[in-house]
Amino acid sequence: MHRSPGAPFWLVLACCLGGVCLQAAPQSLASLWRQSVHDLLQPGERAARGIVDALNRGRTWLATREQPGSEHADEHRRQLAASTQTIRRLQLELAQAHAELAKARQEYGLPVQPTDPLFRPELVEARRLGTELAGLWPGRNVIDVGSSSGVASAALIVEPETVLLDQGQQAGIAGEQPVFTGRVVVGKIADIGRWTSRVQLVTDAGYRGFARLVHQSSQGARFGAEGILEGDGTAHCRLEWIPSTATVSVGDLVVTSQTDGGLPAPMVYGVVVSAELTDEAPRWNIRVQPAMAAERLQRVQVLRAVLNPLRQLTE
Amino acid sequence: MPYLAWLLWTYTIFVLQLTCAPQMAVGACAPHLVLVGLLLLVARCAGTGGMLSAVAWGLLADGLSPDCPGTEVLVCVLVTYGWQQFRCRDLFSGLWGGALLAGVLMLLGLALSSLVHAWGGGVPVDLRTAAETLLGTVLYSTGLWLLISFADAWWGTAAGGPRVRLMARSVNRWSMLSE
Repeated sequence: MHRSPGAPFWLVLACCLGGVCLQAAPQSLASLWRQSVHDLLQPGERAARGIVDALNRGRTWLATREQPGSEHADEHRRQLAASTQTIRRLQLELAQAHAELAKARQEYGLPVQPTDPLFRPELVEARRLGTELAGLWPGRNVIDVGSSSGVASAALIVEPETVLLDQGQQAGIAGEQPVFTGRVVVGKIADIGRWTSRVQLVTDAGYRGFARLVHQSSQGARFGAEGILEGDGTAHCRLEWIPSTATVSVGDLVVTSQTDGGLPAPMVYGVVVSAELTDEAPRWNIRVQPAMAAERLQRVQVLRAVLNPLRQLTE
Repeated sequence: MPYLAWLLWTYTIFVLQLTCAPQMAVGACAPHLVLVGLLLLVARCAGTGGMLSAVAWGLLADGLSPDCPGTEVLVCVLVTYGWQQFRCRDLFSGLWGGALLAGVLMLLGLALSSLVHAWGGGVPVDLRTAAETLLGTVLYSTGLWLLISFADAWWGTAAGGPRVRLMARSVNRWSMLSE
């Protein structure tokens, strides 16, 4: 056991060289190898986790058997204490908010009468039309883009990256209306037909939208400078007009700036992947990785503003 | 070493590294079960067999590591080479000497791995934190190695281990006299 004759030096050297050469292996090969190793170890891993879980269950059962209900009671007591603390904190915050509101009203001096908004937001769900399905439409004269918009129906079909939706004027969709998927901005409506519409993605050249930075810090999210998000036809977007005095860091969130569409919270454009500030430049040069993935889009929501029926009723 | 035992040992150690090592962590220091297992394996699998085992273990360890492939192969091969070269020296022949050697080799191996990780990933590394984690991991792993080796020696005593060990030493002396 203690006498360990060494391997031949040439073998050691060859193994080391092999290790060094492996560093240059392509990433796809490395990923494949990692996946294979994990697959190989998965049964053992599952069994080991099963054993650990069984041991934990056994220990819990023994503890429960020795002192019936004590562990659950302790757990519930801890939860109750934590909930009580949370309620107290929320009560304090509510009281503080009430006080601030009252103070603001006093300072303002005039009573505020709440009113209903004139417009309220409405999301229209639409499905993306695949290339093959979209190819069927022109033959049946269904696409009604109109020459006024300067878009030929064939142009919609042949471009493989075009996002064509199955809702158009009939669903109340109009040009420039923003398109979302969940809380992520996809783009806006570029061209409309009777039953279909085309989306200009945030990455498309010509896309422009007001955007705002959100810094993530230990104290939570904080709004930063405002700028304009522009698509340039690549996989990333540019965030323009952010002054050099603003704080920008890689990983900052980029969200919509204006909420006059009526949505209660900003929607997400993406994440800052590079931020450069050259000497004496007045503005940052920022690249944004969009949160939306055009190739995975299936269903989207188009935001439109409709007249508030309450206002119509009251008048 | 029988192939079946080799396979069982390898599989067990890698499954434990994947499942138990993170749970055994004290602070940021988790034991490096692969290196501990490899040193225990190399003690029984000498020469070319040991080196080939190191390559195989390195390849498997590369499969568990997010770093660029080849680093763990390099670490395992160098640690094995160091073990094979120095274990037979008087200073490192006993249990405590073995622990010292294991500790030094693991320290060097993990330092190399961390260096490649920092260099390859282009990530700025806080040297103090990295050194603390490295030292903690090495101490933890060496302690484990010592514990298992002690248990192994105790088991070996019960099964006539000391006789084998004495014989091994006398063979060494004889070979030295014959030179």
